[in-house]
Amino acid sequence: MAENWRGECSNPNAKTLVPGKQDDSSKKNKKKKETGSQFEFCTVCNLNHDQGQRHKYFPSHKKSLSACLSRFESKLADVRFFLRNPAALRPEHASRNRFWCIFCDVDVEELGSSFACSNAINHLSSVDHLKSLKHFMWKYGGGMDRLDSFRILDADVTKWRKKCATLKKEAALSEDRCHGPLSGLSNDIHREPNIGIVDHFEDNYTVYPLKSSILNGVTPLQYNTNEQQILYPEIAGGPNAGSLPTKLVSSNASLHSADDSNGVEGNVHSGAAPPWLDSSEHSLVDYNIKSFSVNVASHSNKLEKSRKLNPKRVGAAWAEKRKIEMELEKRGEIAKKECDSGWLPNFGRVWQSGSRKESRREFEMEKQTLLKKETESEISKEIQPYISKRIACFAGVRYLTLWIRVLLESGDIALSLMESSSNMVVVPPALIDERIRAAVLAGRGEILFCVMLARNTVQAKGEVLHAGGRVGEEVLMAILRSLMIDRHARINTRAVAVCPAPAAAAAWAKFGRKKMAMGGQR
Amino acid sequence: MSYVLTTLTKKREVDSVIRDTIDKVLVLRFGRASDAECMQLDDILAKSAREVSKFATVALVDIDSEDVQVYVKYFDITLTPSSVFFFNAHHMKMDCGTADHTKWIGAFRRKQDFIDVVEANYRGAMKGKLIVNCPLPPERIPRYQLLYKDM
Repeated sequence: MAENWRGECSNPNAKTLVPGKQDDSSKKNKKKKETGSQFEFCTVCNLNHDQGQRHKYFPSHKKSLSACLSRFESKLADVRFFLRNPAALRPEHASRNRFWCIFCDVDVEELGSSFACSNAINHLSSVDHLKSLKHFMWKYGGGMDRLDSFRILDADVTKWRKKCATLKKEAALSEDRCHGPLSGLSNDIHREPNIGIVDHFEDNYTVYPLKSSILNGVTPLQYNTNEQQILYPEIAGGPNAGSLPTKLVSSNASLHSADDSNGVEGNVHSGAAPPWLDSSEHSLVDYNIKSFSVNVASHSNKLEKSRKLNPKRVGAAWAEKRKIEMELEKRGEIAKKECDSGWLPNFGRVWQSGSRKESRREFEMEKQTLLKKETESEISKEIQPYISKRIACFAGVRYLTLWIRVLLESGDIALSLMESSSNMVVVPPALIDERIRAAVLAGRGEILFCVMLARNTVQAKGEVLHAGGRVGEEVLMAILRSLMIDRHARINTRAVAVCPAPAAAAAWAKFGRKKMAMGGQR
Repeated sequence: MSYVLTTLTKKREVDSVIRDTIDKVLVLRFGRASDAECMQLDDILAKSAREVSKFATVALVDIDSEDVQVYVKYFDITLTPSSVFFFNAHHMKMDCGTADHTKWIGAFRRKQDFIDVVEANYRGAMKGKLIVNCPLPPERIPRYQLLYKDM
């Protein structure tokens, strides 16, 4: 099944793109027809494929190939460095110098060489390597123009050999002066020439003659390992030789000497630098130097990276800003800002779709409409002079329609009355008699009271009371008060008070609001 | 009432908590401390607050206080207890298979559930995601029905 699927995927020209619809036998036939090749292993992609010659043009393969080649190139970069600056190879570091040549499928080790990467250089310049390189590029489609970046040219090799020869001669010369085992220049490839260290070495110049004398005089038993013996010949030769590798050596020596636990060389009296200072330099040197052990470098990189927080994390910019603010607040430079009461965090609401900013805006709008509603309900309704036509045609009498908005409990009667028309004051007949009439008589104005029984029928059961002139404020208030007090009267809750004169209008308004506060909401 | 966790009653306090928690998940529980399910949730929160303290902070908000009603409306909190997650003052949504991704409604079954949820939030936030998937299996997620507000 898997094979069939792969067969489908790799062949965009297949007639059916949906796997599993055809039966296996026909698929296999198709596969054989289309590809016709057996499975082979691609070292670059590290997988088996049956795509034959087409495989090297696929984008995934190209990606893996470029990654592979760039990795190899970086390894070669180290080798090239030593090609330009040959340095002696110390045996214990030989294990770090080996690498795997992907073209030749061979491990290139530095076993018997005296110089760093000499085996590697020799290998990379050899004819065999070139052959296998060409074959690799052809097989995996690397691009024949890049061949030279993966091998070392003969001219370079000869130059390098010359340099090595000169180095050897110098080493031999320097060794003649002192008695000591010949080891060539036991430069550690890890000790890169560093100007700082050279200066340090010059400061310690005075140390060396002392050391050589010690060497000649006292016992070599103080030196634990071979390396010490190797070093000291170079120390003596150090100040004299001006070449790069000896500087390296001497710096190396100074470091090592300082590191020694026995106080013979490098103690307070000899004026050597204290071991902790040197050891820190030592570690600095290690970091600065390119080494074949790429693992170490990458591992240290990883550590540094994980300590930093991911800059792509949520709210990173805000967090950085806030951290700085808090730092400054702590130090007292900025006064602690109380965030304004309107600040809201970035929140995506439940019933809103769209971005979070939009939902916040919608919330702000909602808040405002809520506020408006609350304030509006406090203000009484519009008060305007209105004379209804229906009423006006009533027996030619000039009516002043009173509109009262009263918030009381609505009874059934009142409701039905309400429905018909809202421009009548509904006053129960009983009430009209006593208090209201008296109030009207006391004041001045024309008021019509009537009772509406049913839709659109007006039963003028009330009386037309003329008090003459304008409706007095107190009168109106008295009327309304009387209406309100008697709750059993079941007064229409939706009647509206209308006044012609602005003064009276204010009175109505005031009254209406008061009622609002007292009666509460329906 | 949980004595281990801070209870917030004012909008200003809530604001300061949200703004001052940097690079840590902030869990804000909205609820009434006297409610049974809320008490259960508070218990779990109190017990695990210390364990997640390196990457999370927990705070309780009392729904009944008037100052906080703005937040109750803003976060559309209708069922209690609700827990809202923040990271660096940004709200973290979590898809638990329920209707409301913006908050966690209900209590947690076990301490480990809570820790898993907070960890999922933290990981997602560190990667830069504003919505994360819930690591809990559906049987451990409290179910509820969300009706539209005017119904």
